[in-house]
Amino acid sequence: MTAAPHPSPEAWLKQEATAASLWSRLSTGAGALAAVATIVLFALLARCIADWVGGRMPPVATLWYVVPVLVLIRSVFLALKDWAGAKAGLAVRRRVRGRLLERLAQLGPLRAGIGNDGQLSTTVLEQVDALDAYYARYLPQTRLAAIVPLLIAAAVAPRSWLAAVIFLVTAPLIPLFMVLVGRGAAAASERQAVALGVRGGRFLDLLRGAPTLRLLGRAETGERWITHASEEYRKRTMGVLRLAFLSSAVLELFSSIAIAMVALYLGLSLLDWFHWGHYGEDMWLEDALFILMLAPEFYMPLRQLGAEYHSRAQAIGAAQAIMRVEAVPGQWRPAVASVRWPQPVGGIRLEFDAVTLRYPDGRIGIEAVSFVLNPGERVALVGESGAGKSSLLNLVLGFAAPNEGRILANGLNLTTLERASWWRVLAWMGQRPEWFRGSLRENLTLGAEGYDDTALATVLRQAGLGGLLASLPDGLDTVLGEGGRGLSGGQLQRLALARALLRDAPLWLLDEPTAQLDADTSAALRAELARASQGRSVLLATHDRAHLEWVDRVLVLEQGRLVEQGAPQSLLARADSRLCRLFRELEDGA
Amino acid sequence: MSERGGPLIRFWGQLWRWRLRFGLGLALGLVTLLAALGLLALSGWFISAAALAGLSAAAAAQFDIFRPGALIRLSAILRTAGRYGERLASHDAVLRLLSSLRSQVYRRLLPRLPSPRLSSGELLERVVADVDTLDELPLRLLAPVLWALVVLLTVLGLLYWQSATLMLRALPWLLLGAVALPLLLALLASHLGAQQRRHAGERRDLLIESLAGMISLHLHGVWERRRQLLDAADQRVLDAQFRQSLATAVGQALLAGLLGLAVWSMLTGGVSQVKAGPFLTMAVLAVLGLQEALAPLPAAFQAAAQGRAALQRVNELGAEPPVAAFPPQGPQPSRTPELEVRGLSFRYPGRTHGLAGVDFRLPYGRWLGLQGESGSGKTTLARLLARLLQPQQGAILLDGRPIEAYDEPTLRRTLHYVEQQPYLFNASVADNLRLARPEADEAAFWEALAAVQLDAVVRALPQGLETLIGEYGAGLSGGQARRLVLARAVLARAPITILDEPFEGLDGPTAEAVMAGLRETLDGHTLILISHRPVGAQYLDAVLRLEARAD
Repeated sequence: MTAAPHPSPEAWLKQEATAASLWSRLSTGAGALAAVATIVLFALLARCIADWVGGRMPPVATLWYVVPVLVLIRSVFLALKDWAGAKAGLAVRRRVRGRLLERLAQLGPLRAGIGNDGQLSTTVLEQVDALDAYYARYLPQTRLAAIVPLLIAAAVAPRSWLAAVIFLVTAPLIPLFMVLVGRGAAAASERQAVALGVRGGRFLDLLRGAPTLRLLGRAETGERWITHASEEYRKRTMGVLRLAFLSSAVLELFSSIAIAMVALYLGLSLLDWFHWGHYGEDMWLEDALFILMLAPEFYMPLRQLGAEYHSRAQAIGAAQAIMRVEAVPGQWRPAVASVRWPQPVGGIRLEFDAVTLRYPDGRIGIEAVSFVLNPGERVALVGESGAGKSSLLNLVLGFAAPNEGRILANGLNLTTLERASWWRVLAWMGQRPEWFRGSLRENLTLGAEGYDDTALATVLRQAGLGGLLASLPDGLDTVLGEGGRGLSGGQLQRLALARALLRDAPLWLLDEPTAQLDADTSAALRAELARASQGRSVLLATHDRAHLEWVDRVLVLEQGRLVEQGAPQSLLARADSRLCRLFRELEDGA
Repeated sequence: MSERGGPLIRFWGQLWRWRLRFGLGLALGLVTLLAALGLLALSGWFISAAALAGLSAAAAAQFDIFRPGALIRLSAILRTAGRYGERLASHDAVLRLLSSLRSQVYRRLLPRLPSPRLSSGELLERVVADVDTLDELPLRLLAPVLWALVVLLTVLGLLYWQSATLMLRALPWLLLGAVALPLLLALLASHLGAQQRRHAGERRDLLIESLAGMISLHLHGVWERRRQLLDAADQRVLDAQFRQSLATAVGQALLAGLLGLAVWSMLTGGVSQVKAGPFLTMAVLAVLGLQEALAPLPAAFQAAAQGRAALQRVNELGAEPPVAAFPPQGPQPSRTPELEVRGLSFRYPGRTHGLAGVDFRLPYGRWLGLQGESGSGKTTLARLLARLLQPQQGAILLDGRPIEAYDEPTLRRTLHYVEQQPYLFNASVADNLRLARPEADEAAFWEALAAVQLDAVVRALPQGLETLIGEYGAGLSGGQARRLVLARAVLARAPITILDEPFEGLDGPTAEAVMAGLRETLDGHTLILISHRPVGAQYLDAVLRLEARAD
């Protein structure tokens, strides 16, 4: 179901490359063919130049027709190389992003354990996009850096073996070079990334705390801190860069030395001062030109690889963020071999039978919890944050599965149920309102068909949104949420209530539905909930004493255990009850 | 302080400030490029001339190999050293530029904070990232364009000097490649870039809204349909990015092609080539060598579009008005200032209730309790007193003068406001404390920590006062963080101190002990205590109950 955690981000990157190996190979191939075209083109140009310089007429057909065609072919291959590379980047990103979304959908509310939705979106969007350059350019370039120099050496060798040897000796250790360049750049970029994080964090820290600094009358201290942190960062970075840039300087040096040596050797041979390294008696200008023109091309792929090295560091960073999401196993049960929830449904009797939930990191969600929720019964789950309220709701939703014990719904084991059919009987309201861009109607039905306008208007009225509906210019089809015409938090929660009513779901799960509302709005919504939920089974997780007025029973959770249950009035009446103690603690903020 | 509107930062001004350092980087970069070009062109000329000389033994014997040889070696050295120097110089300049930009952003943003719009964590994160993106403009746009221009003109000059015909034959192709093509790509990049940013924004909104509403989408059985919407939105972004990278790729391929065609055009010229002799080789190699200087141009404008968008986003923050206007220089209040509030009203836009018609007079040294239901405006009153808000009606008088008359440093010295949500910086305990009184010594720190019952906690930290706290360091609990902020108030010993719910997260006995410590250290100074808990009631000289009014 879930792949084993990958050993390292580098291995992960290699593994993902298989998704695009075809495009990637095409890109490498096009790059190599462009190099071949360059070699042929330079051979022809060398011939023409040598003829002109020697006072002869060059072969007209070659010059007039073949050269421009070759130029064109080379450009086509160059474009093809980048095009195929871009395709490779696209293929990998599409695959990884699809997998991440799948994983987040499986995790459901458990995703909060990895990060908030803003951070997760950054991973799914920007981090995945940061993989692009690695697959689009870096990977094909690593292969080209090995292939192209060999092609050029092979083309030069028949004309002068010594020139080929000079090339291969000045870059004899191409793999070593790559490691050198790589190590230097990698170490530099890693240290730089750490420094960048600290420095970016410092700036962010001071911007966030700017109001505090202002209140303390220490605005200039903040500015001094920023300057100081930036200066520190600059000095440290420059220290690292002095080393890191050596690798690119070394490449320049070897490339320059090789060109200078080759030029000198060719010149001396042409002057007849030197008879060694080529075949036959004399060196010809044509051969010499050909060799000289190819000299820079020999080092070009290596220099390009050096320039792309940061994409690797970037991709490793992105892979780490992505692997963090992938490392959290979802508990989604496969749909196959599952029992469908029988239709139609009446009331729901939910039974927790010694249920324990432990998270993969060892945290206890709930421990040995047993209770029965009868049809039409409304039960509040009360406890401090972390006491297990959300874990219990997640178990009912099916985003988590019990490690021990069973959850039975009308006698059927929840873990064997096909989830989509089970979900049809649930209604949900969380603490943060949900809103989807679009019309009021779309937000009510979420795209389901078959509701007439009367039914929609009725549930809106029942949820206390009759006034809103009447005030909207296009009624149900008014597009909301843009241009500042959004709804208030209270109205959005009422909309969730209207959704629950519309679905006529027999089991309602409410997770702190009024936690983020002000006192008045919260009181009004409580009253609506109390009225509208009559006759349904309700599980309500709450911190708020006021909700206890409308529920039939309270379950008190402490550190995952069910420590007390009973009618709210009788528990509140006893000053030594766990419930009273809990509220005292919550209100004292101890 | 009171600047309104206009751009937030003066990017070009800051760039100009570092002109010498950038100039050094530019010059070294130019030396590198010209040396690389010269190395190749000189070598070409050298071997061609050698070949001609080699035809006769006499000419070969007289051939001066040393001067060209020395020039070639010089080019090789300049190229290597120039590249290294350029890298260092331009990175140093960019880091200095970013440093001064950050200070400027902070300085300009400060009067505008706290504001509901600017204070969101996400916006500030984006500001930080955007400022870092600004290095694209000098590094990836200005420098390559300048270099390309100078190198191109040098090569054209060289061609013209030896043979105007050769120059004219190459000129149209070079102009196409170095001027027309980049301009076309610049147009395309700004169009495609805007399109991509729009699609990316939509994609992000859609994803965030889908994650937030995930449970409902699942329960309604429409998650799969959502996935399709998300995939479609993603595809639009990917398509836009693909078009952008394709444009750059085609641009680079076209550039290589146009240089090839320039060479072709030079070689097909006729007999003038014969006259050119060895110089022809030099010219051809120089034109081919232009590739290195011109190749960054297609990507430069894409980077420029990003940098400009970032600059624009940062500068848009300048439109946010400062929260309050302070005079540059104001009167000094007495050492025992009296506070008076007359008919003070404030209501947040869009709210039905607010603070309405509050009156009180607080002689120096009195302790006042502010109480009231949540939403009755206790915090609003405190923020009005601290001038984080502007009253809509009424007046606040400090020593009989309107509070607006005092300059900001004076007001902050006189009135110390401890907010409900304390902010601690990622710095040591000592640094966080020192903010209240920079000249305080260690003994003063320990005294203040003892007053708020925090001395034992800090002593137990791994590095005592020097322990880093905040996001990166050892965490303090919510209650400890709050007490550290109270210790700042003790250190500051301002004539007037306002504490907003200082006992949240503290248990009863600790809260009482902290209150006693505050009494001991701040007795005789004015104190306004906002709290819904009865802690410390015995120290209060008066209590003001606020009621939410719909005026």
